[in-house]
Amino acid sequence: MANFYLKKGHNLKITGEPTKVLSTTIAADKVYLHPKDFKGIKPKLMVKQDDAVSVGSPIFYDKLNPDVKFVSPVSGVVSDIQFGDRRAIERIVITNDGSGKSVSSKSINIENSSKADLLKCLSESGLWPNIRQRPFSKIANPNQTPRDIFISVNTTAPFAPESLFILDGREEHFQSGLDVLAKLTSGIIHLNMSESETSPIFVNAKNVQHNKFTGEHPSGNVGIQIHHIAPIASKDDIVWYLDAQSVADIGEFLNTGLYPSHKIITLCGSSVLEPTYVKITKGASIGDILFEKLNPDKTRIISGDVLSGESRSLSQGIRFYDETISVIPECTEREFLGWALPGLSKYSVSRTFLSALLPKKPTNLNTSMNGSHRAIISFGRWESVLPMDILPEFLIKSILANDIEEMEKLGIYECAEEDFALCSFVCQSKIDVSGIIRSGLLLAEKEG
Amino acid sequence: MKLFRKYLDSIEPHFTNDGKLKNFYAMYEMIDTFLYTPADNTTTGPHVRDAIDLKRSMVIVVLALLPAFFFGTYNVGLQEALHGTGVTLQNINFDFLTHFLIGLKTVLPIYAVVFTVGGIWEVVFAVSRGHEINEGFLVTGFLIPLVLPPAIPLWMVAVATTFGVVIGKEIFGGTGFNIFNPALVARAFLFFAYPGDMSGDKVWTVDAMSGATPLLQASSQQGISATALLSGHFTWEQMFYGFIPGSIGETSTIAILIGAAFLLITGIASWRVMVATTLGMTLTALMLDSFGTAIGSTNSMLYLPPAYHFVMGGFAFGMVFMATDPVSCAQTNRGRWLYGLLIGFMCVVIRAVNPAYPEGMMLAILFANAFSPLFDYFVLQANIKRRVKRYV
Repeated sequence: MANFYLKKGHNLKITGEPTKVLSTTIAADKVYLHPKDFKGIKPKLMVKQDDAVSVGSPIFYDKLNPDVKFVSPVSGVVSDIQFGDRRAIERIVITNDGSGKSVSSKSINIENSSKADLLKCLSESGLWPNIRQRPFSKIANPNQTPRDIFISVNTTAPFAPESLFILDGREEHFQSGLDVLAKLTSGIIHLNMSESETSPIFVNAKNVQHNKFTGEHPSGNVGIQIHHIAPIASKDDIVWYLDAQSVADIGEFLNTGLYPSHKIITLCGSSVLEPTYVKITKGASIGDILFEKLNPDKTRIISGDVLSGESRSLSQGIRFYDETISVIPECTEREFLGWALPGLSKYSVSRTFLSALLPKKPTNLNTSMNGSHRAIISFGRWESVLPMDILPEFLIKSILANDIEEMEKLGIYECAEEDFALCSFVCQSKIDVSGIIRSGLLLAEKEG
Repeated sequence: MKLFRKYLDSIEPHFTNDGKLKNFYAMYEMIDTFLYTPADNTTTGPHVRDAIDLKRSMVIVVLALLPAFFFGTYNVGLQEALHGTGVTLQNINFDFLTHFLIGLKTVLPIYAVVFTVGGIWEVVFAVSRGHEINEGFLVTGFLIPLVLPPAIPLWMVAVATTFGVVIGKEIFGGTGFNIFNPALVARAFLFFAYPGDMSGDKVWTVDAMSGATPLLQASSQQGISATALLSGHFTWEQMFYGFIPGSIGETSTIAILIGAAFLLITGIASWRVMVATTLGMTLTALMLDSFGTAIGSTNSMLYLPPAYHFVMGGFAFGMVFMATDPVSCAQTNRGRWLYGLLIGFMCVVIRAVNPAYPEGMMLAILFANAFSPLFDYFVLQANIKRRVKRYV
């Protein structure tokens, strides 16, 4: 048990908070698989158009790790496969026949299984991609042994689903998942929760070390937690991480032999009518998920949270790892003399608007950049929202200079773009800090 | 308002792509984003952004400078009146508007020259480099007149502004890349190029009348304490409120402190730099005092108490508005402590030990500007070592 108090950070107060009610399960007519959701894989198709598939049927695999399969979350027919540049697979569309027919394997006794058995079973099951590694936030390599495994059940990203709520009724599976993970590493399974956490599913969890974190976003991000518990030293210092639902999915699969094809996400943001928690089929199209729930004005649909999510259209699926769909208004207005106004209704972490004197209430933020791009000037804003012992400005400058040696010294391997999203948010020069971190990681992975 | 917008939208094609005036897009962009918030929307995460931008940050600094500007302009008029026969601080009429308007006659032309000359350079560089016109000059342009003596010839203002903007900033690549504070570079240029007009009695040659600044007064004689030298001319209160000769914006410590409070509340300026500079000045002044006693020195400036250093010369102004410049100061929080301490130390040392320059603040800040990368280097190395230790 260890306690961490993080002083830096910021919880976004925006409108469109989901009510803690699970609305009816959404029927998915079609599901979309986007191989590009997964970093660092070389997908190879295992099906052709018009092939019939069941829940859990492999659709493609990773050429770099042929054991790792990616499976269908529904039963039906492969109705379309689209390719992009150089025949990279853009998306695979599977039409759902609604029967729910599933590939079933035997349930496995976790305690008596060897590590090799479990690895093989998970790789074949299609659940393996849920386990990711740091550095580089890519799918874990089953041939490597991680130093430790980290699970954050303390989500602080804007409107991320509450772990306890989405695991309701899956307590046993969650513990089974932890038991499986414990067999995959000789290190420690770190279960990171908020300091006020009291629910037995987490505080009584076995085979884990309990860590408690206090602080605003991004203190719930697993990357920040790894940094404080046991930082990543180098490119070869591999740790794994996964989210709470994935742990329960792994447990459920081994207990029942069936691929868990649903997940619970939050639908949120000011442009969603009645924001709630919803249960969806994995890979369901955003059009199906948002059917009759969308404000008709011009909106931005984001798979993920507003800070680190990705813009998506109605004809795409939710990203594999996302547990949130946020919809916010697109900005179309330009304000007259905006820089000179007192700014009673402006949302700013800084205290440069009069709104700083008023109590913070949820604000309806749109996609406006609220300024234009300028040179890096250190007013200390990045540091104020980054609870890490890392000097962001020097790291960013070393990345811009392609200085790999300096990047490594300044801790690039401890970084993930999501942890720096708030730095981009608060920057007065509108620097894309998280984007620069991403490019730095790509460079370090390739040439470091 | 709509009309403006329509007009701007209608002329925009001339400045983009193949328009005839595409080289002058920077000017269009400046006017367009001055009048209306920029049209840019986010494309990737974060999809929402904080309301603050560089324009807002710079406007905050200008607002913080207003008390010093208003008082300084008023004081220019007041000092001019004080040179009339039989007028002293005891019997003068302190009416704000009268003196302010007289002062404005001196200050406004200086501002006009700074913004015209500096503005032209900004546009020339923005257009030739194809980047946006930066808001940084708004602050530099507002600062330069405030650190100049009011009697300065306007051609000198133009030359100094040119030097400050071009050599102090643009040759490094523009705002964000300069290593020295451009306004201070402008002032230092005048100081070294035309020393006769920058220090000594000539500073206050307003209509052929002169008066020594308190710093000059305090260092004018050996063997007598600085406070005694001052006592016949200036009281601490007068210097704190600013009814003294000096550079336009530098005289009133209280007006500067009001600006400082605003900068600290809004979080635009680094409180670490301000605290460290004051601390460095205080410690050095106390140290020199006991050092002077120990060796029995007759240098009056060695014994000047910290409270006097604080209100005299450009100390307060430099600390609040120049030392805290986020571009030229140290970039790390720990580095900022060292940087501030060095400024306070150097300022007092130059004032007390160097007989040629009674004003040390300008040189102290420029000196610390040059050292700030070194402080950052130490902080960086410490950070690297500390993190390596945590790796298992």
